[in-house]
This record gives sequence, C-alpha cells and structure tokens, in this order.
Amino acid sequence: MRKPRRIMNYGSEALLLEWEQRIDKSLNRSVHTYSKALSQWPEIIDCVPSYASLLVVFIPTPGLQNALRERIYDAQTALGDQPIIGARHELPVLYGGAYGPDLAFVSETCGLSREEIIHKHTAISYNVYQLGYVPGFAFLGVTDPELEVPRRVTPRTRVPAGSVALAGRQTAVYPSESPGGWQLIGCCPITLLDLQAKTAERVSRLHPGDEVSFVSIDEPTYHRLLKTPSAWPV
Amino acid sequence: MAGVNIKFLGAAAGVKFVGRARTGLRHLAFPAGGPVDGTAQAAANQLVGNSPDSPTLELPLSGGEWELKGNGSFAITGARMQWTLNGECIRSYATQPVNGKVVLKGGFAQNGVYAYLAIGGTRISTHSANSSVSDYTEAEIVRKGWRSKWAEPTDFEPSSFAPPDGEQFELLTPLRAVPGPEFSKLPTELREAILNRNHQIDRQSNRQGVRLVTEGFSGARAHWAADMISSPVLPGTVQLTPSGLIVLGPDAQTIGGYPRVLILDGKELTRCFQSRLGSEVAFKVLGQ
Repeated sequence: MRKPRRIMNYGSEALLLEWEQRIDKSLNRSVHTYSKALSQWPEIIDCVPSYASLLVVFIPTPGLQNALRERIYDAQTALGDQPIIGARHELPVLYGGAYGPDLAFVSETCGLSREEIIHKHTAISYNVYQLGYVPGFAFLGVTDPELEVPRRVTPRTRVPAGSVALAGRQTAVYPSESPGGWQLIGCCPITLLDLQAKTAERVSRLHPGDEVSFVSIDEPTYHRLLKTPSAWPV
Repeated sequence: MAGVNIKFLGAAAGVKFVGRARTGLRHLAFPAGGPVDGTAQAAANQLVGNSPDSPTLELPLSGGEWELKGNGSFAITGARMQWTLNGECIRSYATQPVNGKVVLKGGFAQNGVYAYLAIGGTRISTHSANSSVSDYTEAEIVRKGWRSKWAEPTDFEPSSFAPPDGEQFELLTPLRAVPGPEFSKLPTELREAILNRNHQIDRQSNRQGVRLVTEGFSGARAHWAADMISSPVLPGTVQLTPSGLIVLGPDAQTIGGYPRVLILDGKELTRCFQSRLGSEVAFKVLGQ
C-alpha cells in the first residue's frame, strides 16, 4: 500500500491527503483503503476519495485538525492493503452519429478512423477510480493513449443521459442529463443511476474498484434496450 | 388546531425550501446542500421557536408574494427586501403573528441576496404539484401555487433582535482566505493578480458558485488553468477556471479538475454569497 506524500490543511474543517498526482490503479487503491479506514473514525464526517487524493472532513472542533493529522501519520503503518473486490460490468454503446456528436472531432484529433476509435474504446476494461461531478458519474480509466483528447473549449449546457464520453485518458457515461465538457462519442441505453434506491450507496450502479468494459451495438439493439434494459444483464 | 397554511403567489424566482446540509454523502458525489446563509436561517428559526436547522424558505434576490392563513407566526431574516403585510411595512428579524388571512410581499433585495422565511411549527403537508425535489441536493424547488401547512409549536415566546450590521452584505473589507492546494504552484504574476485586483460578482452566480469577472485576467488564467487530475473540493473553495475565478457554494459538485487557489471558511463564504451582483470582491490571504 502507498502512503500519501503529504497531509495538509484544507481550510479549517478538512485535511487533504495527497499521493503522486497521476492516474494509477494501485495508487488509487491506497486512496480508497485510507478512505474506508478513516471514515470509521468518530470525528470524521466524510471522506471524499479521488484519483490520487483524499479529503477528510471532520466535526469542527478546536485543535482537532492538528490532532487528526498526527493520528493519521501514526495510523499509516497499521493500514494494510485492503483488497477491493469490485463488480464487472459490460455496457452496450451505440457509437457516433447523433448519439456521439464528437466522434468526428476525436477522429480528427487522434488521427484515427471511426472504426479504430470504437475498437480501441471497446478493447480494454476500465477501472472505476472515483465517483464525482454528479451522483452516478463514475470516472473510468485509463483509455488507450491514442484516444487521449482534450475537454471541449466550451462545455455543453446539456448532455443527454447515457452519453459516453472521453476527456484526457478518462472515459465515463453521463448518468443523467447535465452540463458537460467531455467529448461525446456514443450513448449507452442502460440506466446507471437509481434515485429511488433505498440507500444512497445504491444510487450509483458503478462503484470504485468496479471494472467496466464497453460493447458496440447497432441502433435497433439500442432502442430495444432503451425499452427493456433488463434484456442486457449489467 | 393552531397552524398556518402558506401559498406562494409568485413574483419571485429560484425559491427553495431548504433544510440542513447533508453530511456523509460527498463520496457518492452528493453535494451537502443546505442554506447559503446558515446564520440567517437559524435566526429565522429562533424567532418562531423552531430548532436552528429546521427547513425554511430561501428567497434569492426578491421576496415574492405569499398568502398566509390561520393562527401562527413567521419571521424573515437575511437580505433586506422591504416586506409588507397586507400593505403595511413590517420589519425583518422579528416574530410576526398570523391571525386570519394575510398577504405578505417582499420587494427586490436592497442589501444582500438571500432572505429566509421561517414558519413556526412543524410542516405537516405540502401540495406537491408545484414543487420538486432537486435530485442532488434535496432542496425543494418552490413554484407559483406551492402550498404547505404548518402546525404551530407550543411554548413559544415572540421575540426580535437587531439585524446584522452592513458588513454582512456589503463586502466593506476583503474576504479573508487561506491558500488552496494549488496556490503555491501558480506563477507569481497570477497569484498577485488574484490578490491585488478587484473582482466583480457576475450574473451567472447561483447556489453552485459565485462567479467572478476580473478585468485583464483572461490571458494569464486561460494559459494557466490547465487541467489537473480531478480532486475533491468543498464549498468555499476558490477555483481558477478558463472563465475566471469561481467560489464554490453549497450545491457545487464534489470533485473538480481546476486549480484550487484559495479557501474561504464559513463566515467569509456567507459574506461572499450574500454580496450582490456587480459587487467588488477582494481577497486577503491570512498570514501574509
């Protein structure tokens, strides 16, 4: 397990633990190990894990910020590697056309044909590194280096739910309609968000540590799955 | 049974029924939400005998028109909106009785942005056709025609107190901040521009964030606001984006990919959000 490189104050009511700032699966596993352990401490209100850092929010109490920092340093040797056993998901995607309006931009930017982009996007499975942006939005990575693209200069004010997107070496499926600045290459007909779930933990179908792969489908299949999502076991 | 029925007659936008901030859900990408000005909300609740974090109506920029019927009480705090009850001026920061049917009207904010309208007692029903719960913040969005019913609490003494002084809403002094995680990585000229220039609050501001416009800033920030890998953020974080600085609010997302240059704590964050469109904002880094 990797220890954070630094632990710093984040305002007066939180601490930020930072590892090397890169997208790395084993490093991210360490982030989630710390998150799971520290979220059990009674003074901790929330732990927010991301790719390579962890925000620890605590009950505002004089002197607690320094005390917690010391305790986290002391606890590091006691934290062992926690295996994260995630679920595997295979998500159907209708690529291009109206469902992936930025596929042409990605093709031009990466110097790849449409077919090559789809092949590279579907060829590997992706780790869920973190949840963020909106509930149900899972940051997946890392994509093939030849698929690396920048975010849009001007984000869209409205990205349809189910949009499959690329940004940097990340990919994701927008779980709900929202603004968004990633490059849209396709659409997934399977719902990844359940706001009626009995617990908040079940709102997102995808969780950190899960593995996700994509499968290209045709338009009739896309519309069939929109009507009957249970026909595709996720 | 004593109690108040309230109906929203309109003439205000962006009204929400806001409860306390949620905790423990940021790792699932749920923002905490809660009131923009928790102090003002708590004061409104105190004046009607409710617990400090009971849900109240949050009114941005204008008070709107409300019909209240029954026997009970209400109180208004926060931004000054020249309230009248059946055409007669009433003061904010004071318990106001409801006896029979009255019409409450609030004008455009003269000072501050967010006002809070608390009804004494416990809410016992709502007509849901004119409201909706925001999926991610659980703040109930209130539209014209919204109706709700309260049961009056027992053992309650009306009271009043002086509203907060002008500095609460007028940014007479710079916002006190601490450096964010990426502050020391900024080029010197960019740090100096953030700290030495005045910024103006932009019309695009809302509960997600107060957006700032800085004259002559575009070249420097556009070059430097490069993507960093997504990292956690909290309300009060000042991000440097290609469009300029943004002070994140209660409905902001939980993860961000822009440099976190400054952090405002609770009271300073409230001062920022209670400052009106066009207000000039300056920052002072504590310890420097």
